[in-house]
Amino acid sequence: MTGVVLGAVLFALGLGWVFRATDVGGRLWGFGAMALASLILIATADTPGGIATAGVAALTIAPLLAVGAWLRRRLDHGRSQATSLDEQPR
Amino acid sequence: VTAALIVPVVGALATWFTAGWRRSLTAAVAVLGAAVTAGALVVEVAQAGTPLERTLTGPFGTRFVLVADGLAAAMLVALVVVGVAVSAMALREERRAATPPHRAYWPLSLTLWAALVGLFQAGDLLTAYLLLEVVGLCGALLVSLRGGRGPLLAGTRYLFAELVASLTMLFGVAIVWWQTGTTAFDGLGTALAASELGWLGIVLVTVGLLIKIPLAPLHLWLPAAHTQAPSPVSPVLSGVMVKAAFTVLVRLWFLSAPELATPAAASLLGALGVVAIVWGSLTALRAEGLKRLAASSTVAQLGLLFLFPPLLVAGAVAGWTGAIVLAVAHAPAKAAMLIAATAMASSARAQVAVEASEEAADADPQVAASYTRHDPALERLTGAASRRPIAVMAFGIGGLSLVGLPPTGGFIGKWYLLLGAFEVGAWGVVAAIVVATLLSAWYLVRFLLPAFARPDDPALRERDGRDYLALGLAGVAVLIGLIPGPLLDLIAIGGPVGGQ
Repeated sequence: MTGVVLGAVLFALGLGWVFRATDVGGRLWGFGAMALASLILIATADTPGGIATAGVAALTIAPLLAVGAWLRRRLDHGRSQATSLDEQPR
Repeated sequence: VTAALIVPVVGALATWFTAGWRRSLTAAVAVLGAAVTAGALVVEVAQAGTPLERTLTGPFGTRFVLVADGLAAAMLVALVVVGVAVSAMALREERRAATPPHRAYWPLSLTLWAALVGLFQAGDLLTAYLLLEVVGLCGALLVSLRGGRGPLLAGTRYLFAELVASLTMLFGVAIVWWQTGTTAFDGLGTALAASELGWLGIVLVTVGLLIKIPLAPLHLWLPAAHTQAPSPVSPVLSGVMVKAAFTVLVRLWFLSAPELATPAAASLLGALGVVAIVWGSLTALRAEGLKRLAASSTVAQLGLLFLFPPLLVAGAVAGWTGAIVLAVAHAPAKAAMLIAATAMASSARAQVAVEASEEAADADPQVAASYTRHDPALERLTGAASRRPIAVMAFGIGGLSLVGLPPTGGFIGKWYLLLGAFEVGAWGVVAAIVVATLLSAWYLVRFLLPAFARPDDPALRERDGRDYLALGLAGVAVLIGLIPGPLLDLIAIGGPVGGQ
């Protein structure tokens, strides 16, 4: 039950952080917390294979977060070259 | 099944480690192999006449459940048709375009192909989640490939929407796992009924899938992503990828665990569909660019697909048939429209460049050229039919399918939806279909009428391979309408209550 409570609290905090953060980096932390919540819930469930399943899920989340960080770096790099026309994706 | 998954993955690896003409050749062979293996799977399903279920063992003992039924086979047909067409377009761009596709284009698009093949057959929540992650990852990277701030912003927002959806879905999967000890679709309804909080998990999974589809009002990332994506990517995003999460949702709710689909839940999905029709159509009516118009219309067309749940729950299987035919017919029609828009963009770009050089004081030529490079502004396309007649014809035929006029696949889909609605007296659904038809005709006329505003002049005409690719895809949308029998037979395999 501890895992469930911890997971639910982490998920709510992470989701709140995603919508509260104003920068890409802050949102990535929120996503990380949401992911951790689910992994804790899967790993601590009273079902065989929970840890292995959580591990596989973590392996798929990691690249998404990494790509988020990479896009953030690309955006920061290109900020000085931005024009008013393409600031918003049409 | 294994070959249909492995061939594109091997192709993705091979194209990453090759360059120049070798990469083009490898990509062509990989796409051909992927199309043949996926086609063979479709034939196998059609010949078997019943769903084929397979379980593959993955790393750490994880199990992936794949169900090749009529729904999966129909979506695979759409994937093969659009995938082969956009691959031909990308190969052409590699040889002729000033800016050939990014080096990562082939590895990403072939990985996406493999993930879609698996996803269309997903028969397990965890399988669906893992493959949706791969699809989201490839999609976000493909949208960002052109570089520049616009594509990067669109790709980042797309990735964030995917992450919100994925992590909401994963938390839902975790709750289902915790409550029932299983994630397989088969028997999930019974297991959930015996649990206390399982319903919460399914609600979260459903919300995640609705963001991924995306269904309005959860779609705000879509138009920018589909507009900013490179030319060979937009048709796959708009035509095929949006059907991936839709297929998972349909299989979960209406095929594997129909006890989950209560009348209230089905009505809510139908209501969201109506919101999507109105929202997407109004956005298309306000769109300034042609690709943006086509992308916004995708939101409306996805809404149309969600009119079937209230019909099916009320017992009208024809509604189900109509929605799946619409989903399949939408793929070649939308891909034709987007490829035609790309071809027209070339002409519009040339025109803008001339005008910008003549009136340098009015605008920065570089900015003006980049503005119309991938999404020609509608005002620049007045008289487009005299410059790109084949592309305009392809766009128009694709548009006819979206409107639902005969003899297109869109007509067959809407016909079956209407049959289902009349069968159960769902007059609200009938009204929604009529409104969707009128609105789609309205936003397409915004482009088509001005396109024919100038007299035909053979001296102005342009055409290249893209025009013919778009026309071929539009032809497929018509073919579905002219010969709907094979597709209807395919969809019936493993359909609800034994099919139509």
